[in-house]
Amino acid sequence: MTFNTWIIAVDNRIADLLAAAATVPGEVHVAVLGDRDLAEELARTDVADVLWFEPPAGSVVEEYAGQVAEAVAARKPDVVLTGPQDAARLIAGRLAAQLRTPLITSVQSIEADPPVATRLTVSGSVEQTVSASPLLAVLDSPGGAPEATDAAVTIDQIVLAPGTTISMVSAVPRAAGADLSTADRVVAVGRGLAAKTDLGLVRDLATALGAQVAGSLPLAEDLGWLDKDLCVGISGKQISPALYLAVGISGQMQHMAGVTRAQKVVAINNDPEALIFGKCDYGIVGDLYAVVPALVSALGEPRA
Amino acid sequence: MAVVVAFKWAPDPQDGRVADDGAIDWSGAATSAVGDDAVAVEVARQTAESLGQEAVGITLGRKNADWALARGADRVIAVDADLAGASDDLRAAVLAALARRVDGADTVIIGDSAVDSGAAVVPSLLAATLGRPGLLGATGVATDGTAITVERRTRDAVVTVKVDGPAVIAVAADAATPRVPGMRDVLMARKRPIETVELAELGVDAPGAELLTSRRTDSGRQAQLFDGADPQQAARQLVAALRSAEAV
Ligand SMILES: Cc1cc2nc3c(=O)[nH]c(=O)nc-3n(C[C@H](O)[C@H](O)[C@H](O)COP(=O)(O)OP(=O)(O)OC[C@H]3O[C@@H](n4cnc5c(N)ncnc54)[C@H](O)[C@@H]3O)c2cc1C
Repeated sequence: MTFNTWIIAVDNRIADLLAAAATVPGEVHVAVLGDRDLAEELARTDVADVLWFEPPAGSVVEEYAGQVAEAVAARKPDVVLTGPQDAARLIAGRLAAQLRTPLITSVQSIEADPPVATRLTVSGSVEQTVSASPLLAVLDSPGGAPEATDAAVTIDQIVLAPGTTISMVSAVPRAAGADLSTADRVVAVGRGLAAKTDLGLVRDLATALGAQVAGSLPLAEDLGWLDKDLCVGISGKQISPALYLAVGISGQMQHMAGVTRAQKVVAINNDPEALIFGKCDYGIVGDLYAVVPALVSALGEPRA
Repeated sequence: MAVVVAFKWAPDPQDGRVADDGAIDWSGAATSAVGDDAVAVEVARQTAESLGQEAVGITLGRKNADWALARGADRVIAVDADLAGASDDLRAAVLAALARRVDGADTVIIGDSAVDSGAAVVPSLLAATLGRPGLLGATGVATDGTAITVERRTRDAVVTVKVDGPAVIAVAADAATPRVPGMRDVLMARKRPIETVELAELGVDAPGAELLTSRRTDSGRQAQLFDGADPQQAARQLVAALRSAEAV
């Protein structure tokens, strides 16, 4: 049996969606909400064709979730895969309503024939396999930019009717933050750090590990010591690095929900009773100001 | 006209007791403030006040109503049902049905955190069921007395948009500072109406996924702890452990 599989793309991060779609027999189509460059980039991937929705210049993409969903639903998909980006989730919600099918979230992988999704629930403590027809899945990690193929497939453009509810007032560019969602190693820092100027210590450790720096909500939002994009947890990013090292973080549920999919969790905390010691694989009970520099030098030592 | 705020529509994930076979028992789930509820209620209160509209709370479960009334909701509609183990789809369908009971409820506000099954989809399902645009991750909501503006952070910009018509706005944890109700607020809240509706009255149905298998994941990480009294030694022990686990 073959299936009519669709990927919903709102940016170019679809490599893992493509890999998941490739496990399902049948053609894979991509619906793209974005500019021409994005549509052309995704046309040079391993898909049958591209359905391109271009938001009118200066408009707000969120407004077009309903129109994209309607057009995709009309093409009678059996399987729809998308990522966790805001616009993608909005389109997925509309598709659920259009197709009268459940929206399956926190999906880790897809298996075909018949299509089945493996998902995590209850903050990552339960893994379920579920099926539905059509199967509408939001994958936690859509992957990075796809590998380009030599030839481009055809692009069918669908003209969107201009939205009337949401209008752009201003868009102030800001430096694009590091993409934590694809980071292999992450060093996160919390309130255990006494001063913003001490961030250098944590950055040194991150450099020694080849890791990206992130933080708890207080550091990224309340104190503003880190970019808001770097917040890990239910209000920030849910990430899946191979190694997550938490420095001076107490381990509240709202934070830890962001790292349930990390392979190894390491904690450095001077409070032996800190919650995080019940939720990590390795820990050092001690003062981060002594332990972090010691770790940097230990990492520099050759393997025994 | 009214600003509707959906609050306490999901149990706190840490309240679910998970058996070895992955079955989830929600019977001990507390109804303490979870997620961004307090932020959502505060944003709704401020928005309603500046638009000269009513702030109407909608919630799943009867027990939570007083909580929102004390924080500035003018009235609350609660569905009298235990939906602790319900799917995101059903939660959203019920919230949509409750929102529809409020006349002129153009603006629906809800918390954005992933306290639902984990991917923060209830706000988008709610927008979809109501057939209106949604804005997720709002870091600021303001009004000039007539129009609502919403600030959001995208990957490369801080975007401010104007909302002119029915919409669902999901607010992030930093969109407002929740206020702590005083004794007077609590007393005033007692005078405000709570309407309770039966689930059957709402006539909602939501498609469900078929559960094939379920298991508890090994989230019970077993920590191997090193004593940092000697930082150099602890650091070497940790690095050795990480190297043998091939994590570095
Ligand atoms: C709706 C909502 C959403 C939220 N979302 C998030 C979220 O997405 N992400 C998030 O992170 N939080 C979130 N929170 C906040 C969360 O509940 C915690 O308050 C927060 O994670 C605590 O941050 P922290 O661990 O950095 O600080 P603290 O809890 O203050 O912990 C600091 C830790 O540092 C340790 N410490 C102190 N000094 C040292 C030292 N010298 N050496 C070593 N250790 C030291 C202390 O023992 C302590 O354990 C949310 C809260 C709510 C209500």
